[in-house]
Formats: sequence, C-alpha cells, structure tokens
Amino acid sequence: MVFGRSTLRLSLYAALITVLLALSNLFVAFESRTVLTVVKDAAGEVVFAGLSFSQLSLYIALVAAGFVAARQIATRGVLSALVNGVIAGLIVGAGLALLIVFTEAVDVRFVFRNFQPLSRSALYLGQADAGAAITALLILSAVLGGVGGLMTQLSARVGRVVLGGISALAIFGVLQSQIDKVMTLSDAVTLALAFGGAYFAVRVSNTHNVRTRLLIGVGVGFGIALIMAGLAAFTGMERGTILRGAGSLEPTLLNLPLQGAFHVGVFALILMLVGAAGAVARDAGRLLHDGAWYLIAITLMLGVLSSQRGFSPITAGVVVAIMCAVLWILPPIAGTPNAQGVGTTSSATSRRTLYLLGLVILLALPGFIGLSLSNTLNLMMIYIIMGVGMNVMIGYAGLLDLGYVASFAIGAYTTGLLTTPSMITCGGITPDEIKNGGLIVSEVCTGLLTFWEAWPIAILVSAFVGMGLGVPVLRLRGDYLAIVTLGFGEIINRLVNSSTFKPLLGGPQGINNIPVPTLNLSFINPAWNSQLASSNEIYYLFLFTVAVGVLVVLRLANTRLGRAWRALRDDEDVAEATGIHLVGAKLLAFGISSAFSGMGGALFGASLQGIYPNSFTLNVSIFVLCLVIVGGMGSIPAVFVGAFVLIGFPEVARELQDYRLLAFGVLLVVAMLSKPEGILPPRPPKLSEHARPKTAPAAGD
Amino acid sequence: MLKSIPIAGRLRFGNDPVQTFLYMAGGALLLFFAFIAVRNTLTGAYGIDDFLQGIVLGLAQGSIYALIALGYTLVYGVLMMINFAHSEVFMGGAYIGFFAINAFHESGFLAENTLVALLITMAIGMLASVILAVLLERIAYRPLRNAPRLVPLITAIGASITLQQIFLRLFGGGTRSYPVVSLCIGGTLQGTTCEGGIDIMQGRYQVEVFGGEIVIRPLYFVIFFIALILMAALWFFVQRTKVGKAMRAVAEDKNTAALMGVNVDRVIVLTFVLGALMAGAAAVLFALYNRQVSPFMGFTPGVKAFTAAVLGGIGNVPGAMAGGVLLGVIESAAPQMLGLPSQLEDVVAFGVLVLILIFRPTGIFGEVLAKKKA
Amino acid sequence: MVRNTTRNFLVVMAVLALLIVPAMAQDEGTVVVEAGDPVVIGVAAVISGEGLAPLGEDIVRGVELALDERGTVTVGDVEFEVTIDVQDDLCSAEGGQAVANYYVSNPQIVGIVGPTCSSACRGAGPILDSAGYIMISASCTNPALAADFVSFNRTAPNDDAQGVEDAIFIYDYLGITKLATIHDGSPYGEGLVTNVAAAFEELGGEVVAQDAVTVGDTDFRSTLNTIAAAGPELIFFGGFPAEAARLAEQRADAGLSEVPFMGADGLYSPELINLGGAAVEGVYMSTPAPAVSDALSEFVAAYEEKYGFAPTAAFHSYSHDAVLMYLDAIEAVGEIDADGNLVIDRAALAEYIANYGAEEPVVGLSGLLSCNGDGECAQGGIGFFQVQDGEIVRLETMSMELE
Repeated sequence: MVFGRSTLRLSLYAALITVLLALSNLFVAFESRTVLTVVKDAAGEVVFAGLSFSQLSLYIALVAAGFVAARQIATRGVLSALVNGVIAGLIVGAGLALLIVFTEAVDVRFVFRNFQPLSRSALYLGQADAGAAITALLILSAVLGGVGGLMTQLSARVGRVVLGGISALAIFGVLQSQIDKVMTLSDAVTLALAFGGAYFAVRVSNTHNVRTRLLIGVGVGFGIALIMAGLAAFTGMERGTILRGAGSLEPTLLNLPLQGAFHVGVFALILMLVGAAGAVARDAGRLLHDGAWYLIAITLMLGVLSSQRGFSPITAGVVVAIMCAVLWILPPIAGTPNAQGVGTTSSATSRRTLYLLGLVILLALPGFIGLSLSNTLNLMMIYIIMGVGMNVMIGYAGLLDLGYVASFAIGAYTTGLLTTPSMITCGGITPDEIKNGGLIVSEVCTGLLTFWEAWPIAILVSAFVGMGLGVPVLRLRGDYLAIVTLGFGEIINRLVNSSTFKPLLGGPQGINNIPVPTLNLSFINPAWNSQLASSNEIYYLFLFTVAVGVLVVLRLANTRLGRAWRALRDDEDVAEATGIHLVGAKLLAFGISSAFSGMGGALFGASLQGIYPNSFTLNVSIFVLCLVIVGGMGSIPAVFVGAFVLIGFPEVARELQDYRLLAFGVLLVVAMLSKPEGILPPRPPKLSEHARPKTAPAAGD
Repeated sequence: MLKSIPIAGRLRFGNDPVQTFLYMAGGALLLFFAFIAVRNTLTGAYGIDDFLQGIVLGLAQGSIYALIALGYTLVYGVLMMINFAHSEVFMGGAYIGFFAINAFHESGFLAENTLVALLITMAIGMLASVILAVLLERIAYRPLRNAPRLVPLITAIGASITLQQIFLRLFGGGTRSYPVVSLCIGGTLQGTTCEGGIDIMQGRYQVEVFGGEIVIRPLYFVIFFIALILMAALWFFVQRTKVGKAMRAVAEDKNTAALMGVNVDRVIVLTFVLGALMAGAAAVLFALYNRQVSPFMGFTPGVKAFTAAVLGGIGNVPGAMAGGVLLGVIESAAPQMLGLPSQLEDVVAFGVLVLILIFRPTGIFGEVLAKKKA
Repeated sequence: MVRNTTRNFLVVMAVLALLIVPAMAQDEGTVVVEAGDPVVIGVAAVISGEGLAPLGEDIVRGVELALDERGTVTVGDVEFEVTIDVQDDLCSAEGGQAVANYYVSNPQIVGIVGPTCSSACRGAGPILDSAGYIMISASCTNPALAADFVSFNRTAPNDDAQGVEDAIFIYDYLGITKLATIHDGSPYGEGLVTNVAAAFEELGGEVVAQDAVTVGDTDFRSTLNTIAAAGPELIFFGGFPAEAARLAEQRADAGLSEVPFMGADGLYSPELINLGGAAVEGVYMSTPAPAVSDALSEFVAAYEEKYGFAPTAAFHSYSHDAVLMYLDAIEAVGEIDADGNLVIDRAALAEYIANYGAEEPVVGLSGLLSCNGDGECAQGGIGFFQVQDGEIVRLETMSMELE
C-alpha cells in the first residue's frame, strides 16, 4: 500500500474548491432543482427521496476528489487506490465540516454575500442538527472518496463507460425540463428499430453491393413502418408525433382526402430513409458511423425521458444504461482501424445517404425541439455565420481581429435603418419629428425597404466599411492589429449609444419594431405564407444563410485568393516576395469577413425585431474569436463545434442559473488545456503531387 | 525588449502609396483636430484652466493605467501573449484590499494609524494580485507554453471570465465602497478637515490659474509619484539586477536562455509576480481614489491599460508609463477640447491610438522585438 | 448510373419525408397544475453582468420574500405551493428573447415577473404576445412598451410620468433654472433624462449641459469637468446607485460640490448611502408614492434579516407586488377540475391582471396599484426624497394627495 506523495496536496485543493463552492451558495441554491424526482409508493410513502442538483454536485465533487488523488498511484494496486481515495474524500469532507462549524458560529454574509445558512443545504444530508450532519457527511465523504479511488482501477474501456454514464445522468438531469418533450417514446423506438434493424440485416446478409444494401435498408424501414402503423391502427398503441403528423404542414400540401394514408405514407418514407442510412452506416467512415449511433441512442434516451413524468430513477437507469451500452459496444463493432472494421471502407453513396439523413433532421428539427431550443440554435447559427467569416480573417489570413462586433453592428443598424422609419428612409426627418409632428409614416417615409431588399445592402455596407477600417491598419502586425480592431469595436459601440447620433441611430433606445422577414410561398402551399417571426420559423432563414456562407468560404479556400491568404498567414514578407498583392489580399480578407459579420448582424436585428446598443459589446468579438479557436482554427466544421460548445451549451445550461458564466469560463480554459489545437483541428491541406508531406514541425515557438 | 528606447521612426514617402495615403490622411485629420481645438480656445469655449484641470485629472487616472499596463507589457515581452486576465488580477487586488481596509476601518485602526493601515492594505492587495497571477500562470498558461500563440489568449479570456464569476458568486454582484480616508500631513485632523496641514487623501484645493479656477487634490500627485517610484524600481530591477538580466534573456530567446542556465519557468513566474505587484498597487490606489470596487471593475481599466501599453510600444517599460499618462490625459482633456460630449471620450482615445499607430506602427517608443516573434 | 438513380431516389424520399415536420404542440391557452405539483412563476432578471447583477438580484429577492410571506395559492379549498423559475435576461434584447422562448416552451409557467431592462422587455414582447403569456415587469420603464405589447404590464411607473413630475419639482419646488443632465447610457437613464429635460425646458428652464457616462468606467471627473464649464444649478442623473454615488462624490473634484444632485427611482435604495456615504448627503430622488409605509419598513427589515445586508437596488418592492398580483389573479381565475388539478386560463389571467385594482386601487409595497387595462399598473403619484444625515427622508411637497 502506498500513500501518494501529492494526495495531501491534491485533496487540499479539492477541499478548497468545494468549500468555495459551498460559500458561493451552490449547495443551497440548487437544493430545489431536482435531478431525480421523488418516488412514492402506492401508500404515499417516500421510497426514494429524490436527488437535487446540489446533492449531485456534492457527490461528484467527492468522487472526483478521490479519483484525482488516487490517480497518481493508480498503478500501485487496488488497496492503495482505495486508501488514497478515502483519505482524499475525508479531507474534503473535513473541510466542509469545518465550514459548517465555522458558519454556525460566525455570520460570514458580509463578505460572502450569496451565502445562506448551510442548514438548508445538501451538506446536511437531511439531518436536523450540525453534529449529526457532520458525522453523516464524513461517512459519506469517505465512502464516495473511496469509490472515486476505486474508479482509477477500472480499465480504460470500463472507465469510459462509467464516465459516460455519469455524464449522461448529469446532463439529462440538468437539462430535463428543456428536452423532455422533444421525442415521443414510440417515435424513438420506431426510428431505432429501423436503423438498427437495417444495420444488422445488412451484416447478416453480408452483401458488399451498396445498391443491394440500400435496398435492404429501405425494405427494413418499410417493414417497420407497416408494423408500427398496423400496431397503432389495431391495438391502440400510442402514436408518436411522426406518425400522427401533427404538423402545421398537415395534408394541405396536396389536399389529399386520404389523410390517414398520407400520414402512413410519409411515415413509411422517413423510416425507409432511416433504414437506408442504417444499412450503409458501416461504409460511411468511422465518424459518421459512430455519430449516427450516438444520435439513435440520444433519440432513445429522449423518448424514454418524455414517456415518464419527471426524471425518475427508472428513467435515469434506462438512460444511463443506453449510454453505457453504446459506449461499450461501439468500439468492438468498429474494430481497430487496422482490423477489418468500420472506417476501413468508405463509399461516397453511403456517406451521402447519411448526409441526406442529416439534412432531413436539420430541416425537421425546429418542429421537434420547440421554441426555446430553436432559439438557441438560431443564436448558435448567428455565431456560426460570424465564426465562418472570422475564420477567413484569422484561420486563413492570420489577422487577429478583436473588433468583429463593428461590422456586426453595421449590418444590424443598416438593416434597421432601411426597414423602419428613420432619417434615411424618411428623407432626413427623424422618428421623433414624425411622432411629435403628427406626420404619417406612409406619406413621409417613402424609402422603406423590406428585409429582403435591405439585407444585401447591409452586407455590402458592412463589407465596404470593413475594408475602409482595414486601410489604416494595413501596416500593423499581430497584436497591434488586435488592439486597434478592438478600438474600432469600442468606437462603434460608443457611437451607436451616443446622444450625438441619437436622431439617426436611436441612442440607447435603439431601433424598435423592425419588421420580420416575410416569406410568401403560397403558390406552393396556401399555408406557406408566413412571417418568419417565431424562432422555429426564422430558423430556416438562418439555416439557409449558414449553408450559403459555408459554401462560399469553402470555395474561397481553394481559390487563388485563398492560397494568397494562407501565404500571408505563414509569412508576410515571403508572400510579398512571391508576388502576392498584400494590400489587396488583406483588404479582401477584411471585406469578406465583415460581409459575413454584417450578414449575421442583419439577421440578428430582424429576428429580434429591434436593435439596442448593449447587444454590440466587445463580448461578441471575444465569443466569436473563442469559438473559432476552441473549435480548431482554420476549419469550417470546427466553427460548428465551437458554436455548439461555447454558445449552445451555456444557452441550454440555463438550469445552471447564475453559475452559467462560471461554467463557461471554466469550460473555455479546460477545452484549451485539453485540446490546444482545438476540438476539431483542420486536416492538413491537400497536397498537390509536387509537395511532399512535411516532417513533424519542430516544437517550440 | 525592455532594453532601451529606440529611435526607430523612419518616415518613408513616395515608395509605398498606401503609406503615403495614410500619412496624408492622418496628417489631415490631426490638422483638423488642431483647428477645432484652437478655434474652441479662441472663442472662449475652452480655456487654459479647463486644459489644466483635464491634465491633472488625467495624470492620476493615467498613472493607474500605466501601472496596470506594466503587467501587460512585461508578460507580453516575455511570453508574447496578451494576458487578458490581468484585469482580473487588478480587480482581485482591489477587492481583497477592500476586506482589509474595511476591517481596519471597523476596528478603528485606520483612524489611529492611517498611514500604516494604508500600507498594509496596499501590501495585502498586492499579495492578493500576486497569488492570483501565480495561480493563473500555473494553471492556465504554463501547460500551453509551446502551443500556438492564440491558444493562451483564449485560456486568458476564459480565466478572466472565471475569476470575474468566482468573485461575483462569492462576494456578490454589488459594489463595495472603500471607507473615506483622510491622511493629514503636517497638521491635525479635526473631524474631516485637516487643520494646518495638507490632507493628501481627501484634501481639495481651489487654485486660480489664468483667470479660471481649478480643483487640485494632492492625491493626484501622490498617485503619480507612487506610480513613478514603482516604475523606476521595476526598471532598475529589470535593467540592473542579475534576475532582470535573466528576464531579458528569456524575453530574447527562451531556448538559448535555458541553455545559459536560466530557469525559464522561474523567470516567467517572476514576470507574472512583478506585473501583479504593479497591478495590486494600482488596484489599491484606484480604489482609494475612486472608492468603489466590484467584480467587474477590472474590465475597463484593463482594456485601457492594454491600449496604453500598445500606445507606448508594447514590451517597453518607459513606453507603458508614457502611454498610460498620455491616454489618461487624452481621455480627460480631449473631448472637451474638441467640443465633444465626454460620452465619446473612448472614441477620441481609440481614435488617437489609430492615428499614432499610423505614424508609428510599433507605438510611440517602438518595440524592441525581433521581428520573427511578432 | 447506379449512383444517380440511388441518389435521386434518396433525394425524393428526403423531400417527401420533410412533410412530416410537426408543428409545436399548440398551447391550449390554459395552464394545468396537477394536484400536488407547485404553481410555477417565471422570474426573468439580470443576475449576471456588469453593474447590473445587483438590480436583478434585488428583483429576485423581492419575489423570494413575497413568497416567504405568502407561499401558496388557494383555489376552491385546495392549496398549491408556488415556486419560481429564475432566468437570466442579461439585460439585453437577445437575452429577453431567449428567456421568453424558454418560458413559452414550458406550459407550466403561469406568467413572468420581469424582465429587468427595457431592451429585454422588447426582446421578450413579440414572443410572449404570440404565445398568450403575460409579463409584469418591476423595472422596464420605457413608455412605449405598454402600447407595443399586449403581454406587457408593469408595477413601476413609466419614464413619462416620472420625468414630468421631476421637472416640476426641480423648477418649482427647488427653484432651479439651469439644469445639467447626465445619464448612464442605459435606455432607462437616457429615456428618463430626455423626458426631464424636455419637460424642464417647457416649464421655462434652461438645460445647459447634457452628457452621459459609461457603466464600467469609474472615473467620471472629466465628464463632470465638462459639465462644470456650463455652470449648472442642479445635476439630474438618470441611472443607478453605483454610478450615482461616484458622480455625487466626484462632483467635488470638478468644483461642483455646491451643486445639488438628483436622481429618480433608480436611486431610491439604501445602497446609495452605503456606497456614497457623506458624499450623497443632500441628494434628491423621486419614487412612486406611497413608498414609505410600515409594511415597507417591515419588508426591508425582513430583507436584511434574510440576506444579511440592505437592499441593493430599488426594485424589490415592485417585484414583490408583481408576484402578489399573480397570486391574486390565480386565486381569482383558477379553477379546480374533476381530477383535483388547478386549471388557469391564460386569457382570463391576462384580463384579470390588465384590470387589477381598476375599480379600487390596491395598496402595494411600491405604491398604489391600479392597472389601466393597457399594462400601466403604478398609478400612485411621485414622492420626493432627500438624503439627510444618512437617511432617505421624504420631503413635504406636492403629490401628497394620495395618502
């Protein structure tokens, strides 16, 4: 048995962090936030007391302390790990116990303003008085620390499964109220059956022809569709959302009288596509294969969650079991990269099938996830659009821009000014003059544009202003550029908020009542004459913009200009010597990235139906920069990942309430420390036949 | 870096059209501003007294910027990274200092031994800043020593948000006030007035100049001189001591310095410590001067100080001082001089930054960096 | 060939499959709280962010204390516990939009107290309007909000009402003819000083200087120095205690120590005195009457007892009143169905709130509450106060008829 050299040090760190969390009121604030609901038996007796988020954080902290302390001596046997884990747990527990004693005696609320008496906290473990609580806490600490210590002894595979299970529990527990209505259980099971059935049917058939595989998949999907529809029709089984087709686009499309048949047909189609995807998943490359399976697993978990009221221990068990199963099974199915397994073959048709399924999911998404999550996706997409543009600046051309918010604001304000009564649309008459002078908007403001007319103008204006701002900084390098662009951002922010420009820009009151974009497709479907007002409608506009933006940037990367940028990034002097027009290349980088930012800004204003100066702060620039770098600088998929992690997570993690930004900051640091090159770094550029692969670049600066 | 003040300006006309254009545009803008300033002075809208008042106000604010700017400049010089979290190091010093001075105030120690209490407060503030900076370096920056340059920038941003939020969650989002401190020199304190002496903390003196009246507080000069002394000490340390030499060596070339027997990690920690000492001192001065502290107080001075560091030439100690004071003075005097509302002071300040960088792309004092690093 | 047919087939399938896009589960327009479950009220407040967290936290604390006072609703003879769901509106339009979407995605939310800032109220407005939810803001004072959004109600007075009274107070009661205004760059501050300045000029006064400070800046001396050059007789500030305390204190450094300082309801908080100390002595402020009552003193005492410090802003009484309006409304329009569940009709709830106290004003902590059908519920007049010897003291002026 070995006592780890740094056990004491690490445990003290853990104790310090836990005590600070306790002082910040974490263990009281989330007592009412349930992760697992209370279970009562028929007689009303409490069988399971429930689990609050506060309790969960306490348990995780204790286990983590044991784990971290024991990890350094993990090779020295089970006993050592156990003992070190227990000691670490006890030290953290003792820290908390001291805190209980201390705060009973002293009122610390002058210093720690958020602190509330611990007697209401998870630390008391349901005990009434401090003495009993401390005893219980110490026992619990020792046990959980020991568990943490023992976890170091698990094999890598088991460890990953356990960690995955705990994460699934925590994530689902925290997010439950947002995601509990996404997917009905019968839908989830049906989808999983179609995908899995096709997947294994193909394996059994052992065919290698892609066309045959697809046919098998489609057949399986169709079969499942018939069975489920039949079950629904004849047994009264609950119908899922998909089968019910309870959509806004209900049969109006073709105005078919055969509503029932129509639904079944569409239902069959979707399952055929899912089946096809399942059938070819093995040939689509490791990433798509695993991704598809995780998606199916998540679908199932969401289905289970929605079928129960609240997150009961049974639901939790099923969710954790699904997660663990996927984590356990996937690596062996996939096999090692060298053995015959997933990822060794990758056919274009297979990949396309899965992409197609992905596209359908993206298009169908807002109908399932509801307004709140749609809104989160929209916010993510605004940042993706900006991130794609920022990627041109920093990933391609190597120019560090901290004033990205400037063109964002310009795009938003241009749209706002052109679509509402303003000095520009009303021939120099200010909105106040109209209001006070009793003028009629429709008579005075002859220049009003619709969103669709204003949008391209906004993009152009942003691009030109971006280029204009690029001129004075052409000669600046690296961080000098960063601080000047930061200055531009701040200047724009102050100008739009200033009273000096209030008649034009509205000052702190901003521009209100910006009309939402309207989309009239009634010639296809009478129901499609819509104002894109709610977040699940304007979602499609965002999606379209992101798609166009990504296509443009991907094309640009392989043009002459794209190569010029990369040369510029690697070495300005060499680039200039090889005949690249530095000024032109740099200004185009400024212009194009600003156009993206302006495009996002215009959408932002339209989706909010108003713009206010306090939306245009340095934070926007910083968030965009962070998501590009956290994702992996220079790659487009990375922007998506970055936006998901940095924008999506904090938005979805509303349940963390005031700890949201703290979690965000920690996440930023941890992400960079564990993946310095980004979560999804760009692949090395495709080499032409002349170039040879480089040897590993030398470390160091 | 940190070596000497270079005379690096080389005005080239003619051979680069962009540069010529920039020089002409910048020159025209400067002339325009000068014209407005002169006109406002001649019409009496702006007097010499306003100008002097602006200068003294800017001096105090600018000295604080300068002290914070040193932290940016030192770290940048050695690690080539913008330490975004430095503003939180500053905030931490001021906030922890609050608990110290408040305890002294409650116990009556502050009233009895004002100078000692102030010095202890400052020491505690500096210590808090140092602890934060060392933790930052250890956790967020050291593991990334060899990562691409932008990566530590992001951890710095993350660390900045984290620290801000930790303070917010622990100590609450509200603002806290330092007690009003009077320090009577050469006289006795009667209530709040200093009989027969000068109250260097709270004293305000109406001075008549050029037909106008301005208010002068001895505190402005106290701040300025403390800043000057600290900076001189730092400069001496970097230039004249052996450890300072090691710092300069690491700044020049980490690998070579390591080969010469310099403990690079220790030197880098030392750089953070020095920067934090300055920030902690600046923080307590700032809080004694403006009295309010909050978890968010670091952001604006941090951005301004970084601007000041760039203005002076980042990586350059005297440059940071000059940049800080210049920025402070521009902020407080320029808007009024140009007849603009002071709401636009940041616009003016950043505008000046752009103008100066047009003529001197590496700041007023230039940087002494090998080009390969930038 | 193979590829093409396969692809075409898949694309056709995908397009057709899209037809299944389901719509949102349509809200039935009622809230159903199952027996034994709590009634949930959303609280949208700014609880993070620079200089703003104390305002939002004050709103949340006001709600929490109101629920400590009265934590249940009783409909019929069934009692339901009331809980809150606090979300951060970030004091921005996009934050307001996000929280509004969050709340309307949860059919259990009966209504919303908040958001905190006028821009957040604007962001939330369209979404709540189309979902049939309502909000009662404790602090959105932008005048146009009530007309622009059906869902909008407020317990705070709007800037128009307060601006005019403030101007009259300054011109008539204090006899000031030269006014300088400063705001903090927030829609609240700017809107307020614009109204005060306009009303003041209409009365015949002269506004000699108008400027603004930036929240986050600490040194306002240069702003004050610019203002001092214009020779004002009073400085009116639209903003909140932290900036006000700094401005009041730094007046002296710009030679304005003799010039009185005034603010509005944003300053009506012990926080101002905590922060400003002697420097805020003599500062005037206005806030809806009757803001001084035994009930309010007891409430503030309970606040200090529970949280260990004095209120950090002036909104606790407004949010307290807002949540009690909901409780009254639920008790009035809620029904118990056959299964013992509480059913609340959203339209009836909105109707009840819109006419809350219309016949006979209800005395709330923040003043008289009487909604005019258009969302304006603060009908009490404005009272004027001054800091005297470290206490906020009511001045004997006009607007007394309400007591």
